[in-house]
Amino acid sequence: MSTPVASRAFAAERTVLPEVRRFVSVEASRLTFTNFVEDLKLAVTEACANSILHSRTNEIRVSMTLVGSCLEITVEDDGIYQPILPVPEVDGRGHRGLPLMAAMVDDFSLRRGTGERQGTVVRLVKCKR
Amino acid sequence: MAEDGFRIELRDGERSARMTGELDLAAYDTAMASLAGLFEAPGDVVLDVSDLTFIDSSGIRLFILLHQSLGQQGRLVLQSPTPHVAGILQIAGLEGLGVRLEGSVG
Repeated sequence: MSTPVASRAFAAERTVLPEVRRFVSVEASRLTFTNFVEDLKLAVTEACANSILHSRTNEIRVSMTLVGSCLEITVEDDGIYQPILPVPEVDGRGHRGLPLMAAMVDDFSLRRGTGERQGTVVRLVKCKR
Repeated sequence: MAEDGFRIELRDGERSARMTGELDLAAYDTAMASLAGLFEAPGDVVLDVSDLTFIDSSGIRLFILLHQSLGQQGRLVLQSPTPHVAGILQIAGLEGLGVRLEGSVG
C-alpha cells in the first residue's frame, strides 16, 4: 500500500465543496495531472456530495496516492451509507451523481459503510494515457 | 463567499438570467429559489451560462427540473456553455430531454 502524497480532512457540509475543489486542483496540478484537473474536481465533488447526502458523517477525508502513471484519489467518511434509489418512471431526474463520477475517471469503486463496518470509501483512479 | 462563488443576475423584463461561478450542491437551493419564478409561465427561458465555471449533478438536476416544469409549453435554453460545461451537459443527456444547448464558447 503506497503512502498518500496529499491528504486533507473536510467537514461534511455543502459549503466546503468549493474548498475541496481548490485542494484537488492544487494537488493534482502539483502531481502533474494538470490536464485532468477538471475531471477530477467533478469526480471528487460528486463523491463528497454523496457522503454529505447519503452518510451520517461529520468528516470527509480526501487522499491522493500515485500508483505508476495513475493518480488514485480516495474519499472516505465515517458514516453508514443510506442508498436512495431513484425510480426512473416516477422520478425523471434520476440520480446522476454516480454515473457522472464514473464517467470522469478510468476506474471507480464504492464501498458502502454499514452498521457493522462504518465508513464509506470511494476510490477514483485517473491514468495518464 | 469566495470570489468563485455562485451568482445569478435576472434580466429585467426578460425570461432570461445569467449564471456565474460554480453550480454545485452548495449553490443548488439559492439557484432554485432565484430561478423558479422565471419558469412559472409558458414559453422558453434562456440562461446565459458562459461564465459558469463548474457544474455537478446537482446543477444537472436543477436544469432538468426547471426544464420539466415548463411541460410542453416551452423549453430551457442554455446559452454559450464553455466546452467543459457543454461536455458535462452532453454526458448527462440534457439534449435528449429537450433542453437546448446554444452556441458553445470555444
